[in-house]
Amino acid sequence: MSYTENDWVRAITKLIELTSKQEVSWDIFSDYEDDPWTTVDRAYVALFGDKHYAVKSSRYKHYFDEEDWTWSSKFEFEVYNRANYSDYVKIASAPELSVIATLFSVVESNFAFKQDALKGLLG
Amino acid sequence: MKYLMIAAGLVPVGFLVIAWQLNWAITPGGLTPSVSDVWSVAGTVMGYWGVLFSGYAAYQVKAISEKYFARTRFPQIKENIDAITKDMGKVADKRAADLRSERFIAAISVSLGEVERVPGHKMNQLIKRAKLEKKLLVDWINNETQRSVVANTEANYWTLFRTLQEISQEISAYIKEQGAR
Repeated sequence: MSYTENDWVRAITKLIELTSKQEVSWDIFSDYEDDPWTTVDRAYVALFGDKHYAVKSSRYKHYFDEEDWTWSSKFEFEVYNRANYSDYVKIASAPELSVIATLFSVVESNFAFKQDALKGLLG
Repeated sequence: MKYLMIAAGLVPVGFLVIAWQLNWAITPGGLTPSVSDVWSVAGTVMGYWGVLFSGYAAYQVKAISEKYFARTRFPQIKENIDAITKDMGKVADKRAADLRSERFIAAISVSLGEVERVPGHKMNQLIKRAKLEKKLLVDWINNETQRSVVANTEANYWTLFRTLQEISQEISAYIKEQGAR
């Protein structure tokens, strides 16, 4: 058995729903598994149930040929296990889905709101 | 399509063979056709094939133009749908009455119509579902008794969200398939 793309979409949508209802809360994440080919710009993690869900906005070099390249951006969604405050262990990463970008933007605005980003200005 | 073409091309040949086997007098010269009879039959068959091939060419040109139309339209449509779902995710904590002024509700119908107008998309079921769910959402928003209910508690809000995501997913699968061809 394995998860289909549709399963991932359903799961991530559920997470967006929970985020919007403030039932999961996100924090800045830095203990993700490194990949030498990509630079992570921002990563958030949330604990729900016994799993840690991470969403990352990252850049990678997109090569046209041997020398020419540009930065390309992508969003990644990963699931981590963490037993008794030991290291995070990645157990799954989602395929490339557009819903991850949506999740990231929801998480980003949710995080800004949680941190009272505009508090002093709106009072 | 290829086999249909070959079959259609063989129809006159088959007819001639049958006529010859059953001794039908299909030419004015009777069972012993003259030279001009043979040429007129050959000319008719050639003309028939000409019509057949030009029809096939026209069909292929149409298929190619549809393919390129989809290839140029779909990335833009996908971006629009993704923008809608992003908006939906962000405003999900608003109340029903506040959603009335949101731009994305009108944009949903426009984007669904755009997908529908691209030929060969095979997403009719999804679009039909999305339209129904959008209608339910609008009904819910306009329901006076629900004014202060928050959108993210409404199950249909997320169903519509998921359907739009599925459409976006289908489109990116389509784009990938077309790129591989």
